[in-house]
Amino acid sequence: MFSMLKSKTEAISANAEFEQLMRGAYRQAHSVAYRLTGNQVDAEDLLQESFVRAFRFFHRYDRSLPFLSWMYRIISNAHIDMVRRRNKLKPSSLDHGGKDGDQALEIADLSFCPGVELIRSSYSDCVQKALNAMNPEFRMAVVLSDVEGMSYEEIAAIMETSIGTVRSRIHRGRTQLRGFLLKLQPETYGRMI
Amino acid sequence: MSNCEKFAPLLSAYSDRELSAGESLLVRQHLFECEACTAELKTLEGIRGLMLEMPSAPEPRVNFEQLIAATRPQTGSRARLVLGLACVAVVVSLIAPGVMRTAHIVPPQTTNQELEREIARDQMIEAEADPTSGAPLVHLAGYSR
Ligand SMILES: [Zn+2]
Repeated sequence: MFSMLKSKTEAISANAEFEQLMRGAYRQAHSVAYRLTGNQVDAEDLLQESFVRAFRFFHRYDRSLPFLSWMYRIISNAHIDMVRRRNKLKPSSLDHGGKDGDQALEIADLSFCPGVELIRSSYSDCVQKALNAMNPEFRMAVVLSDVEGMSYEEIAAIMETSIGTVRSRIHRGRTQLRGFLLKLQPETYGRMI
Repeated sequence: MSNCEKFAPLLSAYSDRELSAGESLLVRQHLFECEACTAELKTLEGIRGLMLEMPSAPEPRVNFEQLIAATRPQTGSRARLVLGLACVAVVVSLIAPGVMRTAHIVPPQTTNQELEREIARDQMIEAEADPTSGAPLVHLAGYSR
């Protein structure tokens, strides 16, 4: 009876801790989810799924990793699953990333991108479209580095990989991004990058 | 392997200052004598610049309390508890409808169909699968009380 009470008290305090940590991480988590998906609806789906997974696996959370980094790891894995599942549903899509992931998994909608008269917002739409076309592992590494300003070492801890792999993902991610932008708008981006 | 093939993959890390001092020196020496890699470095820095200029994400439309609430009914033990209680409740409600109120985990309007969906989703999470795949998604609004 006493042990039941004790485990119930522990569960309540774990829930309270989870909620407190999550409250601190929530906005950043949403921001990364938004950058990965490129739209509010998918970002919210991804965020909700990540919340559910985080709650479920909270007992496995290793405190040596900052909570936000742990959340980024969950978001990254949930996002990779989301992209793979969607590509599987598309009959014409590439269902693999090439032998080393150099082919983009997601099929970009390349139909719209602003012409020479670029306004700032539509121009960032274009970069987001190119990001969406990127392999999800590369996308996460590039977002963590260039948007979140994280070091390669931090990214390696989040993505549970080596610094060498992070180096390669970021480099190939930026190379993919350049390729997509040049494909979208050769004249504009040819001059800019 | 040519020098360019050797150094080109290091250019992003070089511009991010993520190479060791020794590697960085070797890249710098190569850049000094190679126009192609210097141009490539400029391009990669341009890409990084485009990323940095992205506007910040909009405010989330879904609030924190809704997201937290959505985590709660999904746990395995709870879903199983809900199922167990539901079975008991069906029997008990035939005899004494008032007793069902003690099983407050089951929202009064919860139907068997909803329970099945919760359990299906839970099983997919258990299998490390994503519950948004194919299975009907339980909407947040359903959990905001
Ligand atoms: Zn070179």
